[in-house]
Amino acid sequence: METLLQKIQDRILEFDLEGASSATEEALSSGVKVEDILSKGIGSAMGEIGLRYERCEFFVSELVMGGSVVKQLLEKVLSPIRQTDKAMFKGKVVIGTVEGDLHDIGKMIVTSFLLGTGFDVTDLGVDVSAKRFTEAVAKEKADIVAMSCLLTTTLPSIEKVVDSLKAAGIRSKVKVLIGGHATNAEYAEKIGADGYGSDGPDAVKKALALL
Amino acid sequence: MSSMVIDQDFAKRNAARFEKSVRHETPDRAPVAVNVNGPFVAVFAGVPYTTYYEDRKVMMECQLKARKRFYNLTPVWPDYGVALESSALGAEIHWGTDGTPWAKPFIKTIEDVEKLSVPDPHRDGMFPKSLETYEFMKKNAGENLRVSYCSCIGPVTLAALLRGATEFLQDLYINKELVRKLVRIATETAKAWLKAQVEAAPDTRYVLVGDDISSYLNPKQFKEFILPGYQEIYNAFPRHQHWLHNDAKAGHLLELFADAGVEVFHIGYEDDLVNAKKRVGERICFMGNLSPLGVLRDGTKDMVISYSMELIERLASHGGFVLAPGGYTAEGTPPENIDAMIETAEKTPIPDSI
Repeated sequence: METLLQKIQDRILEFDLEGASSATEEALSSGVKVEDILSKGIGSAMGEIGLRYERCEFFVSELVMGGSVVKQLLEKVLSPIRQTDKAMFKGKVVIGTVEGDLHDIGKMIVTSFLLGTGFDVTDLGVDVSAKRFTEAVAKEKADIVAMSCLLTTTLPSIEKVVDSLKAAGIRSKVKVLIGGHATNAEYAEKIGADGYGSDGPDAVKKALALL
Repeated sequence: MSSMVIDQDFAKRNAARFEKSVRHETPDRAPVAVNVNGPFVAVFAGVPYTTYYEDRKVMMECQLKARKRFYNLTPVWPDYGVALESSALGAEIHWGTDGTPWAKPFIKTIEDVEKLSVPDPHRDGMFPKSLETYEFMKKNAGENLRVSYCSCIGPVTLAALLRGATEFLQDLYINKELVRKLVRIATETAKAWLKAQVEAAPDTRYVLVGDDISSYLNPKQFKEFILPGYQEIYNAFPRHQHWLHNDAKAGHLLELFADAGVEVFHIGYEDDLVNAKKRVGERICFMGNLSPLGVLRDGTKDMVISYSMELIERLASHGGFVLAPGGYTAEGTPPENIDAMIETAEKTPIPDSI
């Protein structure tokens, strides 16, 4: 089992989607549990990508490639299985880039890291209104709503989401996590968010701490 | 003038300090820059973004208002944000709900790239509008005022705007030929656009390349795909100072930026300037890097003074340093905090040597 999981991890770290898919299929057909594939195969690979980023051995282009491979891998191989056993997820996250902002990259990286770590993630895309965030949080019964904001001009959109969650009476039921170039920990505290993630790996740490 | 410390001649003194610092000589005081863009200027002047971008007279008046308030340190310039070059290459321009322009990515395949041609600055997209705005400003901004006209979006950011940033970064691994072709057209576009601006404004002394997304590449990718284009752009303007703006974390590319010919680097607040200066301080003059949000916008005046003094004391000896925000000044930044940065530069002695 160790070798099969290591193989999955290695292929992800080489950004080899085909190889990672084959290794995952091989592990599944050999009876390796889905939970182990998620945590010790894919999750470990995402952890290693995060470590290499912190050590400046990987850069944003590697976060994007690693994230993309994991996202596709989960969709291709594991999605059908994951649907049948919701209990295996660490938590439910609704994520999006706030209204007025079309940047995708930070959100995409965080989404991949959350998926790879075992979160169930609903990605609302970019330019997402407060109303859509609130409706999705209510519908998905999300544990965390994660918002990305790159432009200082669209910072008020984050505050609108927080206000909208309060108005809908669900603010106390969901943790608010923010990130992106226009934000920081002080701003998160100022607007009453529950956490700030400085990059993909950090967002995962904060999300885990918020559960 | 709102400051008791800053007098009418400050901008002139500051410009001389700037030139000395770029030559890596120690000036009597650290030069200071107030880097602003449309959102800050429009909010400062109390004008909606949409009106600022749509009406060149309003744009100029807002910029003049900021310039007057900030001791003639902020520029007057045709400001059409990041969408200018993309519009000339055929991108649809999206006006965000906040009123700022943004380009919609439209390159899906390598064939789409092959269909692109280098735009004509006098004909394509928003370029002619920008050139007309320059002429308007030159005529109306005031007799002794040099309208700034010398900047372009760099090859990586332009390629990412046309293709989509996520897709472009994946292409670096899985579609290298598309990257080469797209970066080539982006480089040629940057050169053509800078050339048109320099022709319109022959007294321009520097060319500025804004390329935040280049920081997302690893050094090997930057060297292979981007460095030759940077060198081409800067080498095309041998009489001009070569400036770069990149306020994403760029520490891993410093030596390559120096190899590209960057002389003045407006760097982000997340990079360690002491380390940066140790590595390439003899080749690059750094402009930065107070946090635009944590210090300048949200901090107290005392915080701004303390951080500014620390930067001056650690970096200003032997030149190669300009005190500035590490990025563009955020809208809503209290003018008093900007005053504090400028006054600290004027008042703080530079240690003889480090």
